[in-house]
Parts: sequence; structure tokens; C-alpha cells
Amino acid sequence: MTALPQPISEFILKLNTDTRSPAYLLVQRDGRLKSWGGQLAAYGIEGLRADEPAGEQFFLLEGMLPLDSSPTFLPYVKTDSGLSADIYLFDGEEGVWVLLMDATWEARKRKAIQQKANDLSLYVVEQQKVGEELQQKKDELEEIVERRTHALAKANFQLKLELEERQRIEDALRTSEAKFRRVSESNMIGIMFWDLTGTVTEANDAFLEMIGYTREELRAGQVRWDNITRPELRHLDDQAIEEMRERGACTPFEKVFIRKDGTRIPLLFGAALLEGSKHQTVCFALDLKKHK
Amino acid sequence: MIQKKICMLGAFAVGKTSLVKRFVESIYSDKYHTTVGVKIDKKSVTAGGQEVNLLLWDIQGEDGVQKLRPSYLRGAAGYILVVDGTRRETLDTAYAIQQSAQQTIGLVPFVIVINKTDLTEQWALDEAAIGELTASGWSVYRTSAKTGQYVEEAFLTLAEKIMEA
Repeated sequence: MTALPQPISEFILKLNTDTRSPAYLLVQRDGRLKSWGGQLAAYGIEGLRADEPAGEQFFLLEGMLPLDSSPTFLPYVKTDSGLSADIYLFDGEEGVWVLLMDATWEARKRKAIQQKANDLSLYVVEQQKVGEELQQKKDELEEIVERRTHALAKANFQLKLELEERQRIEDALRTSEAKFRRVSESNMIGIMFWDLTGTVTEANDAFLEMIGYTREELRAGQVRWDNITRPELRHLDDQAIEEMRERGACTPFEKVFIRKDGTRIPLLFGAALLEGSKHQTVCFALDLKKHK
Repeated sequence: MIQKKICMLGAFAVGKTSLVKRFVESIYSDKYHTTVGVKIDKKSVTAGGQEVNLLLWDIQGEDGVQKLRPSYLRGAAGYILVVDGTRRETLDTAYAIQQSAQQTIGLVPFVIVINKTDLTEQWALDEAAIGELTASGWSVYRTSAKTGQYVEEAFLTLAEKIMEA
């Protein structure tokens, strides 16, 4: 070891003495306190008793003695006064020396740095947890989106099928209507629509010609079933209505209508309820005079 | 008077200081203050049918830089290994500290304390991990320094173990 000049050694000693509040205890080999000195009060160490167990008076020494290595260093020990002390224990001829030196300033600096480092570490751990939770939620969300997309695609496909079916039905309906319109407009037979209250709502020209009414009179609601039917034959209509209610259509039968001018016209008459209706009917009438 | 030195060991911010404060002074604070070096507290208990002074060494926690200083452990009659139930990695630290402590002071009684049971929503330890501890024959306590749950039991169990040893 390089020897220091005396002024340097003396300066270091004075510096430590002035700034680090040195204090000491001397503990005998049997663990009892022999002597003490320095600024022990600065560390809250008071009321010491010689020849009494040192560990009962200064708890830090409990279990520490004898030393297994000398010196033993215990940094930053928080003392009863609130100061932090660096404590050195080393063997001497008279026993074990316990040296306390104030390290409060160093401890505070260290604490400030360590507090920031630990807070940062805890923040990182917290962020990792948040990240993991977000990832989990993202995965769950993606699963939901995938499930709903699949359901949507399925619904879309079903809708397409339904639209195609609807188109097919509408085409069939249009074809059917065209056929019916052709029959109606050809005026080969009389065709009319009426409801069971007696109002004739539509009729083709052939039917209007049979009963002697104009289309304007039809539109004005002047063509009523009960006006063109002979009262004594009303029971035949009642039977036909009953039959329509039971099976949707009635068996064609002969009846006589009263024309607007009061003359009679014999007809072969048949009727059926419109699909889905309990009151609307479609009827045909065949002029028997022309066909006999 | 019988005196026994007990060391509080574990990773940083697991609640070692809070557990000591709860046990010795029956107080708790949510604010986290890191420990630098060591602070020694005393609590008298009855263990093994005798009054015993427990000298509790609250030692600064381990992190990636600060490792356990062997000189703090000298003369310890037992130790409490503290794990933070909301941070899985503190269990790994506890395993490493246990090995280190055993090499330094030999086979002395210890208990494992899994702390912060009040933070149920942030709990990170699964039952399998805790089961491994108990399967090793170690005494495990699930504590909350905040509510005081099982804190006294953990310290007193260790005191009894020390007196039996």
C-alpha cells in the first residue's frame, strides 16, 4: 500500500470525522459490551451498559458475532434516529470493533435513483400486462368478427337464394297473369270479379255485353250481383257460395241473369275464391243462347 | 431474553416493508417506497412457550442490478421469502434467493409469503405454481399487508419453527 503523506492522512481523518459522524462500540469476545464512543447519539444509540450483552443493546449485533470474515461491511443501515449508517465490524486485540459512519446523503441519492428504476420496472411490467390484455381482447374481437362474417356470408347466400326464388315466382306469376289476361281480353267467355257482399269489381267486355251494362257503370259501382240475379234462383248462388267456402270453387251451374234492359239471359256460370281470400271471387259466364 | 434474527427477502416491491409494518405497527400505506440497505425492527411474540424478541431485518429487494448481500444474512435464525402474487417473475426471484440464502446461512427455517391477495383482479400466479411450492414441503401463506390477512400467522409460524429448530 502506498503510504500517504501525513498532511493527507490527517486531512482524510479530519474530513471523515467532521462529515460522517463516526461512532464506535467495542465488543468483548464473550459478546458483552466493553466500551463505546464517538457520536453514538446521532444514531439514536443511548443508555449503553458495559459488560451486558451487546446484541441486546444494539440489535444489529444479534447473531453477527463472532465474525466469520473481518472486516464485515453492512451498508446503509437505517438507525433509530433516521440516519443511515455504513457499519464496519472488524477484529482487534481487545475484541470486535463496530464502526458507524453516516451514509445518509449517499443513501438518499441511492434511494432516489433506485425508486425511479423500480417505478420504471413496475411501469414496464404493467404495460406488458396491459399489452397482453389488449392482445387477448384483439384476438377475441377478431374471433367475433370472423364468426359474424361467416354468419353474414351465410345469411347473404340465403338471401340470394330467396331472391332467386322470388324472381322465379314473380316470373311464373307474370306468365300466369299474361295467360289469364289473354283469356279475359279475348272475350271468348265472360269473366268478372266480385266479392261476397255483392259488388262486381271487375269484368271483361264479354261479360258487360251479356248483362247490358257499360264499363262506366261498372266503375261507378252500379253493377251489383243481387241486381242481376233472379230472386227465385238466389238459393243456387247460396249453394255455390257455400261450396266455394268449403273447397275454394263451385261446380259450374246454369243460371239466368237479368240484363239492364230487363230481358233475361241464360248462362253457364262457375266461380272460385281468389287464392288467399275468403271474399274475393273470380267467375266465368258462358252465354247459353249463343251455344245452344 | 431470547432474540432471533429474521430476514425479509424477495424481489423489489413485493411488500416486505409493508408486511413488517403491518406485523409490528398494524399500519399500511398504499404508497410504494423502495428500501435502501436495511432497516431493523423488533417485535416480541410468544413462541415455543417463551417470550421471544423477533429482530426483523427488512432488506432491500433484489432487482436486475441489486443482489442479496451475504453480510446482511449473517446470524439469521430464519427468513421470510416474499412473492408478489400479481407478478409471476417474483416467484422465480424467490427461488433464486432461497438457493442463495441456503448457501450463505445453511438450512434454517423459512416460510413463503405470497402477498397482495387483495389485488384479485391482477392476480398472476396459478394454482399449479403455488402447488409446486407446497409440494416441496415449504410453508406457504397467502397474505395481504393491506388487509392484514394471514400476516401474523406467517410470522408466528416462522417463530415457532425457529424455536423448534
